[in-house]
Amino acid sequence: MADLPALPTDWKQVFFAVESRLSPRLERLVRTDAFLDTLAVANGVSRLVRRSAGNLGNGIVEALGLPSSRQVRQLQRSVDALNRGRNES
Amino acid sequence: MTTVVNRAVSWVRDTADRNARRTLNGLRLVGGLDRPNTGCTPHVAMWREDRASLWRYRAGMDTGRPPVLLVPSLINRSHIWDLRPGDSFVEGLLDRGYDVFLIDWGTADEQDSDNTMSTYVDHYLPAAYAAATDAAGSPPAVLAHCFGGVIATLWAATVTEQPPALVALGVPTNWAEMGPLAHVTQQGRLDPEDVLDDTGNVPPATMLRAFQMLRPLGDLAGYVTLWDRLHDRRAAQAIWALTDWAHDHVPFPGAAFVEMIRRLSRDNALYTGEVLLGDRPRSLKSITCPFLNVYGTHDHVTPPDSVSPLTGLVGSARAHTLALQAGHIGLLVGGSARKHTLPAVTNWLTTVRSGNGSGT
Repeated sequence: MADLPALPTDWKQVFFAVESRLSPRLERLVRTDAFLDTLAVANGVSRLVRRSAGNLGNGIVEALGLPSSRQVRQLQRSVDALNRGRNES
Repeated sequence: MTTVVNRAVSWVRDTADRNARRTLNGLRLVGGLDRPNTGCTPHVAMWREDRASLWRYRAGMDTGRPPVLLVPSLINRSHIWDLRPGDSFVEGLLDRGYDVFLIDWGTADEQDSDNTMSTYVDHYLPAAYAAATDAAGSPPAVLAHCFGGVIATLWAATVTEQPPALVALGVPTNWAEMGPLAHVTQQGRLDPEDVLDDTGNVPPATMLRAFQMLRPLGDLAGYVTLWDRLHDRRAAQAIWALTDWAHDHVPFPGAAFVEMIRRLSRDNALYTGEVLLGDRPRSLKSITCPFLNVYGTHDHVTPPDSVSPLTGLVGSARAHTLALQAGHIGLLVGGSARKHTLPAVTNWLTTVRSGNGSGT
């Protein structure tokens, strides 16, 4: 019972004790070739999936005769280029 | 026995009281009823072009001190320089009598994806500097943080009319010492184009994940600290403001990012002392103004070994290095900024000014 007032901070002390031991190891881990290779592969796969899903979605929307985000983006780029040309002249 | 019971009752009462305050403050913060106001030192917009703006904060008295232009990084919101009342670098400079200008790069979108580093070095920064000079009546000293420091350093390496002083805070120079952020692209695992999204920019979520990777348990430790201090309204607001800022990245303009990775990271060009930008070589030896290179000894983002070589690369006869006990953001906010960065930087500016003897 004599230790009661110390209880509320104990869990935090435990957390930071664990964190101070674990953090350097994790920081070393993210510097390893294996981790960086995995990161690069994961990034490549997620890009491929995103791009495929985007192309599929755009294809479906365009097949239905509706404007797709791809077309809207192209149109926006053309408008921006026109605006830039007008401002520069 | 009575003492033990009294202590137990007191502990239960204290715990209940503390948790009630935690709950109340937590609900207020989550519900948006008591979120800290950020960037609220009064200012006016002096100049604006595309997304970039220049804000002016007036000292309110003519102390004869030179104006100061603050240059933030491209990837975060500029209000880190003016985080909260009582915890603001801008406020600290104003209190010391400086007339302060702050560049806000704005939020890059698809139209900015073609912006190269040269766009910022040769166009926006010189335009903002000229606007600040016109408004203040004399050229400002330049204080720049992180990638803003890269921009300011390359700008100073380009212009013949040097600023009265240049202070670089946590500026990545030797990219071989930048840790996993640079290694993943340096070693050819990822090409910079691989992280651009459909708008042609680096999405904020990617930037956030990259920084979280540097300290894998950093966010969790931050939330534990927030919970621990949640009963204290002011402390909770301070932690919330910083956490909110740290998670609020803006898109990084794609062309500038690609150039940064290819020139600065893979070629380590800044560390060689010469950077080719827009087909023009920028030699750091051309920087002849008084130069102060400040780094934090606990900086995880731009580690001391990456930042410290910058002093030896510039051509200034008065180039100094200052190591402060701070992290990357601690250079600008919190107790370390108030107790160390602000006094050290302003004392150095005063020394430089008296050394010039010309009042510039």
